[in-house]
Amino acid sequence: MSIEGRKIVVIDDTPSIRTFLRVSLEYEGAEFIGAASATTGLNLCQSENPDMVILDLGLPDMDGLDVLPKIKETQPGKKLPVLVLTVRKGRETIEKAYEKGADGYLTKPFVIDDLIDLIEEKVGHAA
Amino acid sequence: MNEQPVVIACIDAHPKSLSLLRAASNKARELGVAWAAIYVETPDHHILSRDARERILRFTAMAEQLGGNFIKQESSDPVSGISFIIQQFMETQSPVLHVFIGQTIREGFFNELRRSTAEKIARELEKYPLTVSFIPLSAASYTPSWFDRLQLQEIRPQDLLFALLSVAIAYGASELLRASVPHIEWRINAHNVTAFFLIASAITSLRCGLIPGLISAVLGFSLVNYAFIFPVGKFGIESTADGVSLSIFLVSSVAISLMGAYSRASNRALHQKEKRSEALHSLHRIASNTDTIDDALEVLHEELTHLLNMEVAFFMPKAAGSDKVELVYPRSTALDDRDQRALERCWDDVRRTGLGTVTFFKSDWRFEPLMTANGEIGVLGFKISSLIKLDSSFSRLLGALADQTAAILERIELTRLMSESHVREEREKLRAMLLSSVSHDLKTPLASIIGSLSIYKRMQNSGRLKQEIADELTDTALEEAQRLNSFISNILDMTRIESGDIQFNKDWVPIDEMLGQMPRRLRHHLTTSKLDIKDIPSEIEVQADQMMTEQMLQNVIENALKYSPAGSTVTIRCETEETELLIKIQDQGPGFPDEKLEAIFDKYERLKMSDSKVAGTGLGLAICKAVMEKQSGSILAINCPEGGAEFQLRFSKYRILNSERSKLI
Repeated sequence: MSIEGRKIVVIDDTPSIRTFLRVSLEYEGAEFIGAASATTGLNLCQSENPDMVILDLGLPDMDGLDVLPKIKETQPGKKLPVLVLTVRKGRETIEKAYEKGADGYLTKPFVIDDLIDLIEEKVGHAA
Repeated sequence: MNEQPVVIACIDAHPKSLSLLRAASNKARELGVAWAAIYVETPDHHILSRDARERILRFTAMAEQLGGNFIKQESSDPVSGISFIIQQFMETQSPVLHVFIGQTIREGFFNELRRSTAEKIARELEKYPLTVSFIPLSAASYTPSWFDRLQLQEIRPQDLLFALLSVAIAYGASELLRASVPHIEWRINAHNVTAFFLIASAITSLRCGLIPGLISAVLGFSLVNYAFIFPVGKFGIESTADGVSLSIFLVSSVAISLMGAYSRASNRALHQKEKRSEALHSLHRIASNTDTIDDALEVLHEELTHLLNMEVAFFMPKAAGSDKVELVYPRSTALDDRDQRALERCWDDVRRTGLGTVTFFKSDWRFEPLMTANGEIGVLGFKISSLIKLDSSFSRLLGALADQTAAILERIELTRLMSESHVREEREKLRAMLLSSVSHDLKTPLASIIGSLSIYKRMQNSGRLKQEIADELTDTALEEAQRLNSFISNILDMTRIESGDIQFNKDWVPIDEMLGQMPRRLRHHLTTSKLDIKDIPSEIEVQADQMMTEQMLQNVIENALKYSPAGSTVTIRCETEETELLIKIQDQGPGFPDEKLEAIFDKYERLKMSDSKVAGTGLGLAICKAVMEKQSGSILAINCPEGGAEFQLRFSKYRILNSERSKLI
């Protein structure tokens, strides 16, 4: 499986997280588009037509759980997988995230291999 | 078959029937047997007030709570109903050992003649080998008779003297009249002097009460007869007309004495009632301002001692669930064996004991149970001096004071329970917030570190790690590790300052030296903004802990730099104000929203934010505030009119040294 050529929007307000995600995704051959806020992220989802979104729940301008359905709305009629990446690990939050349309849920901290595996599972294609 | 003896409480809708339940439950516990409460539902039950019917229901629940059975028996009258149940018990294997009956205390002469239901029941039960205890309940309502209100009290010698004096003055006035009117006139109108004596007895009875009034009436009558009615100088009456006049005089003067005494007594009673209700009111008002039982006891003790002019003591169970009362306020009081037994009986049987009651009446103390809707909470003791007359009105006052005290203590207890649970809830909420905040602040940098290092490894393993990528990843990991370190230090500092673990020194620290090293300490932050330290006189020193204060200054300046737009300047000034010294740190950033100016120093403010903020921020200013407060200073943030925020650090003590730095000015 490979995620080469996949366009992935990462919405996370922590710069260092965006940094290592950029390095990781680019290393795997995917295209990284970073956003530090929900508003920027939503705009990018609209304009960039990404293959996947990685979303942090604690964002400065909006709660990630509220952003989730909005991301889905940016691509009507198309299935846009959203991967939630957060420190929140309460069962309630996880259930709510899936309810609102999340396609995967990974709690921070995590090793990069787990994330890559998850992305491959969702948007990977035969190498 | 084993016998299962029982103790019985016979209750009705009387509000204090609760004390019967407690007495029966205590007795049953003492004897190690079961107990039951009996209520006889007579046809009258259906005309009881709603309150009364609800009370019965409450007693049902209460009896069960206290471990007893509740038995309801329908019958035409209470006596036969109770007798029927007890007979049934006796016939089965449950002999009744002890019966508690409530007795309404009847006051007034005629009421005492009437046999109470309680006595009828007791007589009915005489045929059984069991003990009957009467528990006095206060009368539901008490209307004193006309005669009761007269209050025949002790006669003081000065009252008798007043009676004699008033008659003497009336006599003097009569003699003066005799001397000033012609003899013939006097012969005809002599009986009119009775008016003087009537006035004398009216004034005496109004001032001194019934007995002195009557004495002056009889004295006046004798004197008029002796001195002014023919034959003069002798007791005796010659003419029928004089006889009629004198009789009328006697009847009127006795009537006037009675009326005068009654009016005086009513007046006094009213006055006393007013004074007592005022005292009760003030008691409530004063005690309402207290928050803890201990404070309330202290205030109540002072007020009651002052009001009654006697020794007052509070007895309550010291440990929760204890069934013994101990002295809780004042610290010590002298109770002899008898007093102690009276106190225990009061607590166990939930009824007044000691002086002026039927139980332990030889004690010097009077004990009143402190009753609340939730049961008995303690005992109020009054040491009654022999000078005080324990009449029914005084007894009622003591009862009312006990009720008032119980109500006050109960209110405080309820408030305490509520606030305790509130505090617990708040603490729980805070703990949850702290946990979620700390977990976010710790995990976010860790996520970056683990993420960066794991991709580093992945790339290295595949042999495709470029140098610049490696640098970027290690820099990220290092930076985040430092952030994590600073956050952990902040939490530890805060905890240590708050718990008093950090000892603050009070040294004289030169201001210029402290501020002078800031540019070096903050060099990493000075790439885009400038730091401008205005001329600080070298001879000024503040009293502070040097290490903590330097760290704090660095925090505040760092914070200012963080919010400064590129190319702007953070300015530091120093000003003195009487005994205080101010360090002002002004930036050219966006300032704070006005409502946040105070909140930025609140350590919980950081917690209230979601997990959206950069890790480690927020606690820094809270630490600054804690440091300044530990040094008797303060920290304040304002928005400058020209834009930007200004932090003002206020040190409470400073000194100026002269140029040789030796002499203190």
